[in-house]
Amino acid sequence: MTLADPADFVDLVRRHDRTLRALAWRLLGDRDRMDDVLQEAYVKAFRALPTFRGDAEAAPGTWLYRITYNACMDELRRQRRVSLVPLDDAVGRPDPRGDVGDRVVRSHRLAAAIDALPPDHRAAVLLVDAEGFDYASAADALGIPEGTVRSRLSRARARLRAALGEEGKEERHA
Amino acid sequence: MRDRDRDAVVGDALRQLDDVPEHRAGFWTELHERLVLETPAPVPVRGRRPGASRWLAVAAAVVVLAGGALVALRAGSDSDAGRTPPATGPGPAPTITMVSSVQGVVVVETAGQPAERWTFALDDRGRFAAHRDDGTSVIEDPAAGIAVNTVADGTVYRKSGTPLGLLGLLRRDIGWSVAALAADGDARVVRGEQDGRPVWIFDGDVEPNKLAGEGGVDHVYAAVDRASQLPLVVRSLSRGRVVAEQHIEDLRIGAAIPSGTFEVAPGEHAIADDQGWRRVDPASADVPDLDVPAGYSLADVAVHDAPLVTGPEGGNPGTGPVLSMAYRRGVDVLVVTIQPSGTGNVWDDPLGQEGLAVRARPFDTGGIVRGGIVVDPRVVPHAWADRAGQVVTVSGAGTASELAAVALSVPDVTLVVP
Repeated sequence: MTLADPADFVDLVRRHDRTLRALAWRLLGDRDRMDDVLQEAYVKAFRALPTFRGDAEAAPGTWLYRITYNACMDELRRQRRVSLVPLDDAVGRPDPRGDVGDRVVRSHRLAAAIDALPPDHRAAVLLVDAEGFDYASAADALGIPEGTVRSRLSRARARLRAALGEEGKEERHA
Repeated sequence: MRDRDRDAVVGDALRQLDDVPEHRAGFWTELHERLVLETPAPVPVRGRRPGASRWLAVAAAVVVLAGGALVALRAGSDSDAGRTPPATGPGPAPTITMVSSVQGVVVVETAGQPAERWTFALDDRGRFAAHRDDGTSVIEDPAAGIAVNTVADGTVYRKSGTPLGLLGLLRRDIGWSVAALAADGDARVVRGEQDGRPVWIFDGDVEPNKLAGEGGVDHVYAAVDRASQLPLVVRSLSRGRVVAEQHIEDLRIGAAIPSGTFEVAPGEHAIADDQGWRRVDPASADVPDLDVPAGYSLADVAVHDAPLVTGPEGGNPGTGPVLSMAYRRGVDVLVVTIQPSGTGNVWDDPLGQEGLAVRARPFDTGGIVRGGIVVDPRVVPHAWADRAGQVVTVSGAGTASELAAVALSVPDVTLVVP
């Protein structure tokens, strides 16, 4: 397999697409924008192969994540459409699906809480807590120092805990 | 529950969230297609030329009489991947799709007329060929300055010395305009799909051309393929009634064009028409160094030695000579014209069309440059400027800011016509 072959490169990207799609979706919140940014990010990655072949072969997930993350942040800066909902409002929003099951409600609240985080904090949580990256890999993917990953995670987790505090209490009593 | 445990629970829950949408239909096919387009052999870089200090001047879109009808020739054309992104400049180079060729069938329907089906091909040298089943054909070769129309009865009209940037049948001016409006975040443009391809959709009212009277087009719908910037659908309406529509079927991007497609039959009895633009070898032409967008490279140079008539009502002063340069990026094209403004003359938009009121944005130069930037679905996107003794036009595939940057990069030097 040679990554310079478009078909092989598409195969590589597809193996990581679920994670990258989740990142783009969580950061952009719009399917069209998600698809547009991912297209651009994947083409950019393909174009950058000659320069970053070592990264691409050694840790393709981290490398693709970094490119996708940067592309998403560029899109957010360019469109300037980042409208953060205050966390209290987000988690207090009535669930439009009414009496669906508790699990669905919790998922909805979690998604809302994640969406309310600043994009760079959101990316850190997704990488480390959801995708299992260690701090060093996350720092590499996000292009920031490891200490910054830790501080972003710390603040993001604190806000998530606060937002999801009710669930924790429920579980304690269960 | 400890904080660490709760973080793990949140992580698990995040992984289980099922609200992440799948890609749109055709996403992977589109990606593969784009990657294939990224792999062709590199094109020699010729775009910006350092040290060009003397060159020529003039010209811009022109209004000419063709067959009794007033036709606005607008700079702008097809082009290709020429120039690689500049080595300097802020931030990373933008991602650009270099489309090396397009082929398909364009169907043109006008109220009261039978539909016309044209099989067409366009390549990255700007060569365009289209033919109908009845033997009618059009072949254009901008590098050679030739356009040949053959009609069904066998009559051949052979034009030589054609201007750069002929727009042809494909309505690419609309495609470029909608793409430029999308880049500006215009609320009338939304994302969509057409025949499984991602498109920009423009659906909005336009000011009718005053010459058309009450039956003028007052609404336009256009679905523009985002990879090639070709309009897949263009629908023109007047007072709610469709008066013209064309659409493209079987669009193929990047596929090899059969040999002979652009060959022109000699035609013993051709009717000849020399339009006066002489070609200059771009490799040897001492043309100015312009700030063209990434990916563009200089492809064709032409000079019109005699003055040209330009302006919405042909009211601009006739000055010359006119220098015209086509920059290509795949099938995209930008055409730049430069001509002397003349002493004491007042210019209007050289690419303006009679009866058509379009809004021109001023340059962001504090009013020191006369001219404007026009992005409107009824005309080719363009910028024009009257500065430093020269009138400059830039038209074709580019955003408003890109067009303006090119226009303002024309140096203030003594012009020497190649």
